[in-house]
Amino acid sequence: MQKRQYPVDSSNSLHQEQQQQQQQYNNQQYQQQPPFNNNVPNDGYYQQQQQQPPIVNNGMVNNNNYAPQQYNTSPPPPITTTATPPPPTPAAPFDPSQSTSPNSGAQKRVYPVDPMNQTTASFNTMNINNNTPAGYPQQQQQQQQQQQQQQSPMMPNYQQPYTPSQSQQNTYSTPQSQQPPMMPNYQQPQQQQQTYGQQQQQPLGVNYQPQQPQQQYNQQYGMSHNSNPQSQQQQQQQQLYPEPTEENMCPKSFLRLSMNAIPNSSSSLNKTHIPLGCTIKPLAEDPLNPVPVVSSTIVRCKRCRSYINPFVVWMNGGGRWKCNICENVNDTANDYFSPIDFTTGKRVDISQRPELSRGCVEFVATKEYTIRAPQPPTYFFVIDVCYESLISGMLQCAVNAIRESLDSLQQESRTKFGIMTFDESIHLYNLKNTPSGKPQMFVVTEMDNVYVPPFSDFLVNLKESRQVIENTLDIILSLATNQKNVQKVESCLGSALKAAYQITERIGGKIVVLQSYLPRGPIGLLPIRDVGAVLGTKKETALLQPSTEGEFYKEFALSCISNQLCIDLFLFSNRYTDTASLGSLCQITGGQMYYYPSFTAQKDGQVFAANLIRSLTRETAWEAVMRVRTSRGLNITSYHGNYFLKQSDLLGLPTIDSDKTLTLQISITDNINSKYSSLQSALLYSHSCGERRVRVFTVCLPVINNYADLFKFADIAVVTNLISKMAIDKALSSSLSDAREALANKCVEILTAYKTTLVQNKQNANPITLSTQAPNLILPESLKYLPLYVVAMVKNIVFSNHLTNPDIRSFHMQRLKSLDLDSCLNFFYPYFYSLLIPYNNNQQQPQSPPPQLDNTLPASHKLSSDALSRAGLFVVVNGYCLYVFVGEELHPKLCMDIFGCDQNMIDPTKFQELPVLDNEHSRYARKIIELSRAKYSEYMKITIVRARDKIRRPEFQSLLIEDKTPEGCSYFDFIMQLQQRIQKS
Amino acid sequence: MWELSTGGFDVTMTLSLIGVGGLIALIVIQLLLLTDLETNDINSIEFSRRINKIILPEYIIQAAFTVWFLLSFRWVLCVLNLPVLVYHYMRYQSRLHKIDPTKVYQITSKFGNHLMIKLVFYMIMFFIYLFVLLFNLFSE
Ligand SMILES: [Zn+2]
Repeated sequence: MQKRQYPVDSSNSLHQEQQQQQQQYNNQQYQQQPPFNNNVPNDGYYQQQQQQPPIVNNGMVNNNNYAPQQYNTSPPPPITTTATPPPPTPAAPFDPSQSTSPNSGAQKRVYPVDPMNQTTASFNTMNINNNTPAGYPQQQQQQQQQQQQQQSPMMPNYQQPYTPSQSQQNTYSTPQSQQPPMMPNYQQPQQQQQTYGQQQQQPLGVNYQPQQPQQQYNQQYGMSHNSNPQSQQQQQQQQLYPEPTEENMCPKSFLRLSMNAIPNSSSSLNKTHIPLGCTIKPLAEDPLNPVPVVSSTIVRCKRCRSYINPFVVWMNGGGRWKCNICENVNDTANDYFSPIDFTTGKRVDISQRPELSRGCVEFVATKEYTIRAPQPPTYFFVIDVCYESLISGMLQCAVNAIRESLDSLQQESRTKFGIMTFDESIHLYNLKNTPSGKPQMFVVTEMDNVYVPPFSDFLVNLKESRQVIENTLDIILSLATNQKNVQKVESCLGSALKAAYQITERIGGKIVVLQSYLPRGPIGLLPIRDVGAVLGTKKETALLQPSTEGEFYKEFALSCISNQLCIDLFLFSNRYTDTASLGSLCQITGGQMYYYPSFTAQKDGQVFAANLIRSLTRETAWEAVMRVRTSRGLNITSYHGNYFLKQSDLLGLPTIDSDKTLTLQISITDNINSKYSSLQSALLYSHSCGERRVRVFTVCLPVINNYADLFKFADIAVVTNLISKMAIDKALSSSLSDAREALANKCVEILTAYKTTLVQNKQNANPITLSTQAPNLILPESLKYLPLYVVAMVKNIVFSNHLTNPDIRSFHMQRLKSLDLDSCLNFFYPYFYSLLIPYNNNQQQPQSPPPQLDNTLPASHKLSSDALSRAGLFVVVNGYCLYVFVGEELHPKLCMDIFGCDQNMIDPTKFQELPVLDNEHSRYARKIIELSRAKYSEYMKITIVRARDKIRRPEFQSLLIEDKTPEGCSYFDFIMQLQQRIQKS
Repeated sequence: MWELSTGGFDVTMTLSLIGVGGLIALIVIQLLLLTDLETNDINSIEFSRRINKIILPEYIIQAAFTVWFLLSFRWVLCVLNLPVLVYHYMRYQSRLHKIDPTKVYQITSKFGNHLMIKLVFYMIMFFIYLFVLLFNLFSE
């Protein structure tokens, strides 16, 4: 066959330029490859990445779905345009724990150090780069600074303090400052130097208190504080006021706000149209920021009951303290008293008390915080053993996965375990440890009024009854296999849940439900809703909400809440299964739903097993409640995630685990006159080890008077997340088309607001344009990816106009609700890699030796067909699924090397994993997949997409969101539309 | 006002008066529950459970009177009650009459307003019934 020319080839002037800029990108005729320099220091790596100018083109898809041969962007492409999104970032290499063990990807979870999260890493980072999207307020403008100085002598200086871990911070700051792919006209190096210059001068200066921010400030502006007694006095006062620094703020992996500053009034917030809110991931796994556990007395404000934190103001020499949330002045208890060091304004014992120096701490709670003895970790399995469960192989997989996780569950000696199976009757197993090691089985057949015999031995201590439990698993499997000929399809989920409730209600814990059918039977029957007629109309919304019959599950979930029960739901149905109705079980109880449409063990077994094991073994907090307190003027308007609001501000979370995220929307009710605003979240929970604990996160943010400045402080990750969650609410309360409309409108509103601010003060702005063809579309540096994410959201399966199975859409909607920031962003804008070893510059040979992927993923391509090639092998990773695209002209030898068979022999319905083959191509491809998986806690299945696949190809194509797809216009077109709409308004 | 022509002691009006008094009492109970909720004295599940018990009786009493006015040819009173009946019917049809415990805190302010409007309406009705009753009594 004739070799086709692809848009990435050198005929394109854009790419020529690109090639010139980066010598490492080579052999583009065969395929575009990311740079691999295993030995090049990181700096170099990122610089290259930075130089790569991603291009906005109107990527229309031609007939054979490949990218156009020519760009429509006619003028010589200047470098001012960037469209590459932030998520694709090989950020991991800077984690020392990762770089040491290149092969540990699968077993040892490499913690995703996200581009956004890295912003969190240090304040120094932010200083290096004034344009950092998530940067904290800085003294950017002299004018502004002086103005603020007059108003507030306590102007925060974020360039301080220079913490001992400086070197580490710098390491982290490097990726941050150079990625996400920055504007080429970005004056970064200079800024960096400047900032370093300042910082380096500082220790050499006259300062006797290097920790004191104001001094540096004074020094910088030539103010002598020594000569002025008044200012000295002033300074002593301000020493008392704690400044937010990298050390004492809560790390962003736990709590992250959509703006790193608080507007002073609701009118200024409304003018920007940026949603104010935060995401909280209470049990985030963050190896860089271990949460210190404090077992001393818990000090709380008398009035608002908030916990002591680094931002309280010490008065009367330490005898009293002013709460930063409600401004109430509290007396310091005698046993908590410590004198104040007047040189630093901090307590003398600050180094011994993490709660005074860290924004995230965990208190070991006393008896007052416990109503009953902390609940043991409890897992109760409710397994559907109807015909479909056996045929699909689900039962076999489940039993194996449960058996596999027993060891790790047993590590906590108090763990309780129970299991129950059901079809048209309920089978209970008395797991009491007996010499015979055999369980006693009870069958309950009366399904409309379930009664469980009053034994306590349906739920037993795992360690004591381990042998019986293992035997029970065998028995369940053999019994079910014997029944294969009896085709039982009456799956009485409602009755089974009632029985499970009776067994677990006194203890609480987690009920794991595995369900293969739409529930039938006398209780909790769900009808098959008429899908075809309403799909694509406004009435589609009704399908995404619980049906009238689904109220049963809602009410059941509510009764679970009162008994600290949480439900995890695994659905395997190959027909309609009404995820919307069943989902309320998980949404209300803080559980999680997993859905494997048309499950077969061959196709999904591995993914299911991995997810089940993960859901059993991840860190879980039991019988938790959470409350977020805000300082005056702020008000939390709504929560998103899987929770139940017990009181107006008290979230009930029967369990919460390390994968769950809550999102809060905040409004401003009053004008805020103080200089700082605080927000504190407190999670009271039972640790698996049997301790009652309180996990407290505190953030303190400066209040900004000028609303135009707010754009600088916007955090695109949280903003996108908030907008998407608001759009889901809109979709459920109104319609999908309204939700899409709302998304686009939000983008227009924000950018219009930004344009208005630019008219008002020009010198303050640092605007950016996305394309030379849209010169009037200006947007703030911090939100430059907003249009891209909005396009991605509009085309995403959750909101798209594509006719989607409501089960799948509802599942993704619910999944998105409790998804963490990074996964959420990546679900909208996936990563896109080539799985083939990049070629050398001059030879038609793979690089030899083949590049080592030391836990570093290559740079992600932009999501457009331009990057596809017929002879290529690509993977698109969206956090839920890995789509492996096999080009139809993939070299047979490569195919043989990687798949172990001919291309035509790959069966997408049975494919689970790349085979482990001993050659460099296979190793490379597997490594990319392994590294991609390591970023997510959820295990991703692989979907093979062949170029001519009629079912999966459109699905794959819809992920390439920068192209024009049936779901919507291309990114370029969207930018042009945006420009038009903003000009009109 | 020809329906007022039935002179003497009006049993219907007395019953209506008692009925609307009952409706006002139900609304007051809901308002009290709402204040309890706002002060966190009861939780959302308990609140919804209690309110949902009250709502259907309220609808039924209100509907019964409207129908009775219609049957006894008291057109004016019937027409006055009709909008509320239609409103209740629509709420019931769209399954909005019951409070969803998971959304309690999103609707509290709206629900409060809704209760206040109903309270004012029932009060007005109370005085109208009272007027009709007294009018009939003294027009004898
Ligand atoms: Zn307080």
